[in-house]
Amino acid sequence: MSANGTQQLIAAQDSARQDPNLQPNTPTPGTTHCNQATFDIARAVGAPVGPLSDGHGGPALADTIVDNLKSSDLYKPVSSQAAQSLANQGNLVIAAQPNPVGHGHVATVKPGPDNQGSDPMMNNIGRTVGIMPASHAFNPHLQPPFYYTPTTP
Amino acid sequence: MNVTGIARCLALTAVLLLYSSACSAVTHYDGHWWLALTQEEQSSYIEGDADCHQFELNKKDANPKSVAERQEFVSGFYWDHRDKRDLPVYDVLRIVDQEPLLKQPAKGGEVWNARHTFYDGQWWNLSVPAERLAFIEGYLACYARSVTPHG
Repeated sequence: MSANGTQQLIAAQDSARQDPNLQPNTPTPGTTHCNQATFDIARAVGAPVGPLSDGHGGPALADTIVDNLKSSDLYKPVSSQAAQSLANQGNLVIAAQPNPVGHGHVATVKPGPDNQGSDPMMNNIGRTVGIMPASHAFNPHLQPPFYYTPTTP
Repeated sequence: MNVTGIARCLALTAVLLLYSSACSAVTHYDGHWWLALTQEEQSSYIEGDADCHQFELNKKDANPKSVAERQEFVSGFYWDHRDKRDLPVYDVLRIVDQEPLLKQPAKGGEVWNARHTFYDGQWWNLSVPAERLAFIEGYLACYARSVTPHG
């Protein structure tokens, strides 16, 4: 991936974070949009959206995305350390956390030269919206998120 | 006036000053207060109000709107009606409830059906103190309107 790829990814993430339709409690109280945001970002950067889709052109629910990514040939799992490094090179990396007793959560890794280590920086869109470490964006009482990147960059 | 009288007078003045000070410390959740909040605090206040309205007062919103739309309406109301800035935010939000939808809501997203939706410990930990305070203020201002508040 190139610097252009990184800029494209950042632009897509910034756009999703600022999209009024993706803010929590929109359009109704109790609605969040981690699935829609991840779907929109993947589509904007030309990444495969099949595992993120409900089959009708819209996004699947987060728990479904988690399951789909696990079994998809279009995405491959990567470590949390590799996740940040890949994102910094402009690759889409999706973090996905299943929740057997509630809503799962998905988000994309945010590129940044200062973002290093095993706690990747997330472009988080859900019940809170912002740029924050995965340890904040995901439920610490569940198993840590899995990270996936497209098989073909 | 003798010394005892002066002492009584001073004591009474002190009590009145303290009472006045205590009274002025009471927050009125009205337009003057609202317009001094940050956007984040306004959002959190609306979230607290909505959470209470739905789950404590068991009111269903016939024209559900996003927090951003509600926030814009309330601020616009107070700017457009300077003479109504003493009206509580709670009452302005009920006016918002009656407003028809301006646009059809976008589809998609995840709907949290649990009681109090996603306002749990993780949400609390991710929010900042000013937002937590505004959420609770919105919640309690609404809860005070409950016919039979608990406790």
